[in-house]
Parts: sequence; C-alpha cells; structure tokens
Amino acid sequence: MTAGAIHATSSAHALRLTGVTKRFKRREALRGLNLEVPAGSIFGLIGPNGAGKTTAFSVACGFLRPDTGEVAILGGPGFDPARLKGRLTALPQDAVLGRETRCVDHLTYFARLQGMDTAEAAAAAAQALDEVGLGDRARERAKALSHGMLRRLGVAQALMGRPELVLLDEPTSGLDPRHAAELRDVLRRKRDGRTLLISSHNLTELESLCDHVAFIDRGVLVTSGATDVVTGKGQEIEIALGPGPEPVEVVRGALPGDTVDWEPDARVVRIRFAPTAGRAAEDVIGAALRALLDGGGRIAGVRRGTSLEKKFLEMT
Amino acid sequence: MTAAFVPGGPAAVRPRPRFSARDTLLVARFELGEALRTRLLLVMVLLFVGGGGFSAWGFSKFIAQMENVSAQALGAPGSKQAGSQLGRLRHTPMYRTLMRAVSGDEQKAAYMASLPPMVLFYAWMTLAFTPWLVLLTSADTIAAEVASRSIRYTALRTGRLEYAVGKLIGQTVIVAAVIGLAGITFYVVSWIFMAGFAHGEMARGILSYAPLVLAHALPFVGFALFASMVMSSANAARALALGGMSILGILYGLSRAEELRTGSVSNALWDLAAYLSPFGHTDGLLYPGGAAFWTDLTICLALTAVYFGVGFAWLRKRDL
Repeated sequence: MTAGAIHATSSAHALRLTGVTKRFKRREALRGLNLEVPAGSIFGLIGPNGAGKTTAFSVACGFLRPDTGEVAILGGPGFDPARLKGRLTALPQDAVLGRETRCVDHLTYFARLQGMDTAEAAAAAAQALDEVGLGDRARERAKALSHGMLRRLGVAQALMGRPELVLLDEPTSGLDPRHAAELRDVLRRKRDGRTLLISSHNLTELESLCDHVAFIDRGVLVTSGATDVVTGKGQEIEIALGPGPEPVEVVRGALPGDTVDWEPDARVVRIRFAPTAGRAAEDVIGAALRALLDGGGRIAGVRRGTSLEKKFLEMT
Repeated sequence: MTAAFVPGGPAAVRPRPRFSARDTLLVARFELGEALRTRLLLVMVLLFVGGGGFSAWGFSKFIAQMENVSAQALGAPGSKQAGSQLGRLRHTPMYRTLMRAVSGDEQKAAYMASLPPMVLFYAWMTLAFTPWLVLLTSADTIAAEVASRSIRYTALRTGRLEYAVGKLIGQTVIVAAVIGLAGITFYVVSWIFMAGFAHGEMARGILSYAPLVLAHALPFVGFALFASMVMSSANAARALALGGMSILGILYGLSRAEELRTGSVSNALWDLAAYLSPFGHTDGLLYPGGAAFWTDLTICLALTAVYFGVGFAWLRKRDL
C-alpha cells in the first residue's frame, strides 16, 4: 500500500476504496479500483467472472492486503478487527465451515468473537438460524448440510448481531428459488439502517434488491450510482408492441426533443428523455402511450428504464 | 496503511491496537473443541496411551526376563512379577554406577537412581516421541484453515495475533493432555506389572517429569505452528515441520558427534543448529537439579517464542 495520507471516510460512505490495486503473481485483479458505498444502502456489486468483485470484498475485509490504494471503512482507515468488531460482517466466497462442528456451535463461536456474552451469542445464533430457515438444523453438523444449506449458514453468520456493514459475496448462489426469495426478504428486513454490499450474478435479483449498484470490469469501476439512475428509470422508457401497426413516427411527433428508437426484432419502442421539474417519466409514458394508441399500436408492456442485465451487457 | 489526522473528525480517532485475552481464550477453546470433534485428540490419546501402555508393558516384560535370566545364572529362584530384583538393585552402589555410566554425571546419576525405573522409561519415551507426534498433528492447525479459507470467518472478528496465540494455547493444552494421559498409563501399567510398586514414588516421579516433557515439547509446538503460519496447505505445513526439524536434528547430531570426538565444534552452522534445535536441550531437562536445567528450560521456552514469532511475522502480513 502506498505510504502517505489516507483520507478519513466521510460518514456518508460505509466503505470507500480509492485507487486500490492488487496483483496475484502476473495477474492484476484490481487496477486502481475506486468504489464508494453509501451508508445505509443496499449496494450491488456487478461484474463478469474475474472482474475483481471477490478481490474487492477480500480487500475490504482485510483478508487481502492491497498493493496500493486506500481503504476506508465505517469512518476509519482500513480494516482493523478491534475497531470493526461486531460492526463489519461478511459472507466470504468459498470459505468452508468446519464439517464436524454443529451449526449452532459455529454461530455461537462467531457471535462470541463479535463481543457478545454467552447468552447473547446463543440467542443471536438461534435467531440467525431461524431467519435463514435452518432453525431445525441447529444441532446438526455442517457436514450433514446440503450446499444450499451451507450457503444459508454462511449468510446466517453474517447477519448475527447488529453489524453496520454486511458484505455478502454471492449470497444466493446455489439456493433454490424459494430460499433465494426468502433470503432476499430477510435482507430487506435486515436493512434497518445497515449497509449491505452484495455481489451476485443474478442481476434481476440485484435490481429488485439494491438501491445502488456498481459495475466493475477487469479490476476497474465502469459505472456506479443509484440503481434508478444507472438503469435510466427516470430517463428511459421501453414500450413493447404486439403484432400489428408500428406507429413510431407518431410517437416521434408527439415527443419532439426526445430520442425515440425502434427495435423491430424485439418490437420495442425505446424513448430517452431529460426529466424536468414539470415533466417526469409518468408524463412521458402518458404522452407516448396516447400517441401509440392513436396510431393503432397494440401495447404489450411498458417498462421504465432498461434492465440491469441489458445495461451490464452494454457496459462490459 | 497510514491515516491522515483530520482534526475533529471521527475518522481521526484510531483505537490503539489492544490484545484481547478473551478472544484468545475463545479461539483456544474452539481449537480444543475441534480437536475433540475431529477425533484428532482421540487419535493422539490412542497413540500415546496405546503406545505408552504397550511400551510400558514391554519394558516390564524386558525387566522380568532380565531378572529371570540373571536369577537362573545365579541359581536363584526367579520371580513372576518384574521389578523385584530391580527394586533391590536400585538401592545398591552398582545401580548408581550404572546410572553414572548412562548419564555421565554423578549428581544426575543420584537423581535418576532415586526414581523408579519406569519413571525414567516414561521420561525417555515421551521425550523421544512427543516431538514427532506434535510436528505431525499440530502443523496443519492454521494451514488447513488457510487452505479451506475458514480462517476468514475468524479473521473478520478478531486479530491475527489473538487467533495465532489461541491456536498455540489450544495445541499446548492438547499436548499437555496426552502427556498427562501417557503418564497415567505408565503409572497403571507399572502398578499392575511391576513388583514393589510404590504409589507415591511413582506419582511424584511422573508428576515431576510430565511438565518437563511438556516444556521440551513446546518448541516443537512452536515450530509446527511456524510451519502452519507460513504454508498454505496442511500437507505442505506438515512437510516443512517434519523436514525442517529433521534437518535441525541432523545438524545437531553432527555437531554433537564432532563435540564428542574433538571436544569442540568447528562448523558454525552445526554449532548454531545445536542451539536452535530443541533436541540439543533434552539432557538438561532430565535432571531438574542440574546446572543445565534452567538453561535448557529457558532455551526451550525461548525457542518456542522465536519459532512462533517468526511464523506470526509472516502470518501478520500474508493474504488469507
């Protein structure tokens, strides 16, 4: 890490990485990554395989030492277990829990290391296991759990206590759809002023869960911001048309100054506009639908903004 | 990483790093629990109790056979139970002479002659075998967690020093437990098979040697943890622990051989190895009243700290 000043973290950011680089032998995993995670947000970290997501997580958690750059966490410089005890928790990717140890014993041990006394730790462990649907497996050894259950046990240890910042690396990986949905509900409920940083390849999941997202690719930040802004929810509309007339020119006439594109294969009209105080997305949707209906178009669906997935494919 | 001081800003206040004894004990207790759950402790106990019991029984049979052979040669009646002749022999000048020949020191010989032979056999066996068992079983304690990344769950919640010291304490308690159980085994076997068994004498003898065996084992625990902290897989750590200590042992052997042959050691590497190898500090521990006792005990403890410290210096900086 470079010597010199590290800026104090603004309280507006739970986590900030500035110019972080990390090299593994000949491969540079992070190439000056800048990332700011607003406090209290559910933040999605998105990137293709090998983009550096897990490395960024590991640097934030102190597992990996950055070669250069600065890390600021919860109002202080760098990872410090004494300062961050019980305030920062994480679900590390591919970290195995001891096979012979019972679920409840794992969690009680971790809770005690977070500073809880015996009774608090037992209660926190039981609650966390219930939250991830493993309450009835508390006394089973980890080796008796399926892959999905182990994942949930990993999430449970990250949710214990009252951490201010929770880093979850692929939390729903390997979960069946029901448990994945339940876990998303748990994360929403657990928000309560916490900052959750989640990495996942399930972009639909992140779009529904996260209010902020960042795309990283090849170790650098591609874009970052509020999910609505990144996906253009306030500046972009997609209207799908059913078979029949394609009155795109009518829409162009009704929305002068806006960009109206027609994607014939998908039969989607895409409108990009600049929102103003007197003209929000709802107004543009109304005008566009009126124009399409007047032109005989058959409306199959309306969507604000583009999907996170589409945005991801465009940008990486 | 350094931090710029921002006057008045909350981020400017960085808590002074503190060592948490509580966390250390939590890690140590979990380590003991893991040893029980993974049956490591059971294996060690079986090896020590089984091996110790078998060798103590073998020793008693050897003594019985020797006594019967000598009785036959003298035309005296033999004994079914071992130790009846040896018990009488212990209090003769001839036995003292034998001990002097073994130890090379008059005071040491007097001390050894005061102990039941089974206690000396216990001391010799445990001093000889505990180090290798320690190197074999303790070397993977951290390296395996690095390999499986399970260390990350702990490293997020406590400092690396607390973690490493907790592991050291946990392993030390495990080794102490098996040394103690081995002592009980020798005691019981001696009680059953040796004539003239004296409870108090045997118990005092084992109780006086068990802590010394542990003290002698500590540098090996330190070396095993050193290997565990610098390697990233259990097998590599075990190989380094066994290989490294074997090399130190061989260098010490060469140094000792030259010293016996010429009266001094000319090779500086061998001489250094004699100090760095815990094998070079066994003799002093065998005689608690001797001049070398405190020196060897101090060196054993210092070697533990040095091996552990060098390993920790690596662990502190490494990626997990």
